[in-house]
Amino acid sequence: MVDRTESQAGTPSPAVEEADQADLAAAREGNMAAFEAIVRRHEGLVAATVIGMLGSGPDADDAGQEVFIRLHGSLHSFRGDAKLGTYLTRIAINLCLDRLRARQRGLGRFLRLEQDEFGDLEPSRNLEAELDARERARLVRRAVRGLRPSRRAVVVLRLLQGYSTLETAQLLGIPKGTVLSRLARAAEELRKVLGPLVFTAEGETS
Amino acid sequence: MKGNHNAGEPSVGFAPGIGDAPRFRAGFSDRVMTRIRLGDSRQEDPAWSLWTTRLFPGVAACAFGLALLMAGWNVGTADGSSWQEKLFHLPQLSIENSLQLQEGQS
Repeated sequence: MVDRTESQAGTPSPAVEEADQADLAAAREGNMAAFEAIVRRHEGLVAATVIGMLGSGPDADDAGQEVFIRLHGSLHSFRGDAKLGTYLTRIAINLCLDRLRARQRGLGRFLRLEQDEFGDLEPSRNLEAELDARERARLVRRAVRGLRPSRRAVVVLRLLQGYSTLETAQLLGIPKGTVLSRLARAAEELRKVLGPLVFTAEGETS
Repeated sequence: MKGNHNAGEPSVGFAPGIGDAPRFRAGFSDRVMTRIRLGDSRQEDPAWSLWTTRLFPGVAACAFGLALLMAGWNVGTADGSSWQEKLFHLPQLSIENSLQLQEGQS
């Protein structure tokens, strides 16, 4: 078992990849400590995806656990064609989209709970000056959760996780152009409530 | 700005610090490992999922239809005519009834 620092989205260090390969091989042999090391190494990556998509709380925690349980169930079929972090992100994003669809099919369809997240966020042009960094981060995450799931997935992967447009397209299984159009529409929506917290062009804020 | 900017793409992102990753509450890996060791009883069984999402609604709809059919049969036989007659010969019955009514009035 090898325990190294946590990977960064889209760009795991060679040391992390090496640790993943060693721990995956050990976990396939039934070494639970090795699998736990994988969980510890990648839980931050998975948290960023599921909390970005579902919001913090028991549902996100449960979805995060489910991601690793699915990985454990597919240890023997995962051949390592993709990086482990990318594989986990793909599981996480699909799981979240499934859960959001389930929410929409249920009570959310009638009450529009997702859209209500925007409800008390008043458009403002002075947000940046008024809020400290932590509060700004919380506000942005809340605004992101107000986006429709398809756009939210793009924002979480592309803007919050830092995946490239191509990687985002591959993770979601959609064309690159679709990523860009969803990103543009999401930015437009976010700009209405977040104002200067959203960049719209290199070096300048809206 | 958080996020990679690729040439030829619109540059959109958040102010610095916004994308700092949130984390699960403490003990996340313990919870995962516990579920795995317990065999994850909450993991959805595909067969059960198929039953709950497809077969059960189908069976329920069939049962409801059958119940309606039986109710129709009972209603139909109560006044001596079958439900098939009521269903397929309703206009004729109405005309007959109206003719009988006219004869009665004259």
